[in-house]
Amino acid sequence: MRMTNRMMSNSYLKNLNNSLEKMNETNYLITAERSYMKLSDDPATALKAMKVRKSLSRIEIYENNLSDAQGIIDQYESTISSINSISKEALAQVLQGITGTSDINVKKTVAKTLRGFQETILAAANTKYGDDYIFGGDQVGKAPFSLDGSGNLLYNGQNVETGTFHDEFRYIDVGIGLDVDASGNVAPKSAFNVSTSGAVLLGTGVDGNGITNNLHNLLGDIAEKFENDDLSDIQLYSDKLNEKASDIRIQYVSIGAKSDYISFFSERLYSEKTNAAKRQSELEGINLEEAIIIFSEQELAYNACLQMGSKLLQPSLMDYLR
Amino acid sequence: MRATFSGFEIAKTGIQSAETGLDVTGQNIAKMNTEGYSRQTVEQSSVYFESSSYKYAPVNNTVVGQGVSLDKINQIRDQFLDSRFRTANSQASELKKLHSILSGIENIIDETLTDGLGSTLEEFYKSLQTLASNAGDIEYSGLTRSSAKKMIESLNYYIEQLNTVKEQEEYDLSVTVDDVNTLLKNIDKMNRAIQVETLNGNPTNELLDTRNLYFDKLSENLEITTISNADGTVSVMVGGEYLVDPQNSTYETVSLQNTAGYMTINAGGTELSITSGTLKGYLDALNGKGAYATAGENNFNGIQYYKSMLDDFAASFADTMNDLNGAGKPLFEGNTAESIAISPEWLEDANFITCTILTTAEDGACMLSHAPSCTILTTAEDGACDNILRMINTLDSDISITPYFNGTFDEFVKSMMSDIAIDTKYVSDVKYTAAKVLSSIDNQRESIKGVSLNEETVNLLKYQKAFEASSRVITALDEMLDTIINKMGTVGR
Repeated sequence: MRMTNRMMSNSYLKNLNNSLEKMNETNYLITAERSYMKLSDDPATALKAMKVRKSLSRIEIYENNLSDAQGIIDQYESTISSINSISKEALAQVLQGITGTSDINVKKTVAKTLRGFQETILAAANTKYGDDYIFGGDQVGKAPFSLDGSGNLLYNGQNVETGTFHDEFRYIDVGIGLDVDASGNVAPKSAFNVSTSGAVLLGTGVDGNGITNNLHNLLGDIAEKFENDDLSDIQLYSDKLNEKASDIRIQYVSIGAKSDYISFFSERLYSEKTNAAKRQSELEGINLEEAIIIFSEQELAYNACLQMGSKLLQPSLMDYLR
Repeated sequence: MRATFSGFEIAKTGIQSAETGLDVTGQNIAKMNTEGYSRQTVEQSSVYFESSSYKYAPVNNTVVGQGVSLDKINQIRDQFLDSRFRTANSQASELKKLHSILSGIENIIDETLTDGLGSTLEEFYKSLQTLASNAGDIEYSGLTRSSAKKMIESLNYYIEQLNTVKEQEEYDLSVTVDDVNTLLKNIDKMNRAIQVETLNGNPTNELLDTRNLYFDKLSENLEITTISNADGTVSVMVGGEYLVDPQNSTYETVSLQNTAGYMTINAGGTELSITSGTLKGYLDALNGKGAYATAGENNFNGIQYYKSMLDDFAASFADTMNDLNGAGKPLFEGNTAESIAISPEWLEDANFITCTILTTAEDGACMLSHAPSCTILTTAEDGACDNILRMINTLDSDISITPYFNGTFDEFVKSMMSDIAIDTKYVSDVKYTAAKVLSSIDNQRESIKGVSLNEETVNLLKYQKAFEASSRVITALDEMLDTIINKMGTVGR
């Protein structure tokens, strides 16, 4: 091919510029410690990395939600624990009251203690976690339990003995495939239910003997019997209290299962997070050693190119003739 | 018989030829770096012996030729390479322009290093999750509102940026159209000059160079077909239309037509079909509607495509969220990416977002979010978060966001990113190849028409020596004549 000076200088300039451009790119990547700077550098990797970013963000959300749930569960646990000991203590007091002396003063003391327990239970059932009343079921914005004018215990505005209560749910999405059915309800297995119904905790309605199922009311009824010194059918009531106490104990114990569930998912999320973070650095990160070697190669090429230039561009036959 | 001064005449043609050769060499060296210059050579031929001018045939065969004749100063060009260069130039320029516009769009949509629609959407999702655990808390519904606002703002920003790119490119396009017109006018001017000079028998090499340079520049903007005419002029055709027609002494002016955002390049009242060149790049990027194109429309993924995508995203997002929030309780207003905003009701009260739609009725009939007969009994302050969970679930469900896309909002944003990434990457790769092809053809062309300094130095020596030699011939002849005239027959004088 016939070579002209313009061809030489043009392609020399082009190559020099290419070489500099490559160095610049590598420089960017190394400084930013990234394997690509924009989507079109490597679309496949960039889009994969976007997915990993999303799952990292989701894992973070679920972790937050789980730690929220853990907080609520911890609060339940300590509250139910205190209610549990109260019910045990109340049972002991009642049994003592029945079998012990017939001294009216002792009975009055038992009644007073029971009245005191009633208040403690009420206060415990209205416990708050943050701003939420955790025993409010699905309505955690206001204190769930209150007494109406005639001293009846109300749960979310309904009398615990005569009201009708449904299952209550407050779901937290913990990344187990949140699913909402056609009628718009959350599928129970697809999210974590953190609601605890105060009504279920303390009991609702009355049993076949006409005795209240509610712990608070039961303690009140028993206290009334002691106050009136009328212990004729007290056995029925103390049996009922015994039953309630074991019911509370079962509820207390079953919290452990919920806690386990949370820690199981927390661990799973943690390992998912580690994997995703590793994947992210594989996709987005740069192998520094490799990049620096590439950079050195480019630098070498650039220097060689420059050196060549001084020899390439000047001489022609012109330079060798007198 | 040899004429006495015949040798002088021969030597004279030699001197003249050497001088002209030196002139041409000087010209080549002087213009070696001039854009568009093609090297010139002297075309010379032998003056032959013509017997018809003699009455009698020469007696012997010792008649020599009559020296050298200077015929023409030629320029060395290859027309085939010229046309290949122009085709390649059109393609390379189109891709270069397209790449620069696509990079502009990519800059807007890319979230590799910055936050954009995707990350603000994820933030909104995150704020809903937080709200679900803290339903009714004004602090958290406020957080949800502000992250929704941020997302809306990034939508608004995308559109604003796309419009900026669009306006900029439209302006650049109009400037390019002006350039094309200037070039067409200049080509016409050159055609006329060449026609006149050819008729007068004058050299046209420099005019041809200039005209060729105009063709090269014009080919950058659009693909042209050139047709050489007998009188030295060249007609220029684009898509079957004559833009420069020297046969009828006319040339067209191209104009930019904007029909409701659809740009066309017209010449003489008809739309030009432009197959490559920067104009094609501009038109693709500005007119391309991608999947939204109906038959006959440009289906390149251009600015309009991304604008439609964003509009559909905005409309679908506002619709979906408003529906979920309950009938007559819109969270968002506006149904384009430009006009979408937080509704005044939500702006006024952060708790306007419906946290729960649970009612006292246990039959579940009222659980449906859209049943208008439902009286929403519980207020947000009660802390139930069922409706927020519905929103979360919907954000994770497949929705027909556009007639061509069914998936989650998040996937939609990613698909937009994948579109622009793949298109930009493709154009960038092809651009690289086209530039290589162009540079290789340019080299081939330069190899033929370019000035080689080595060659010219050799020519310089060659012509100098030729000049010296011819001069020496004259000296020798002169001495011979001197001998004959002054020294012959002087014996005894």
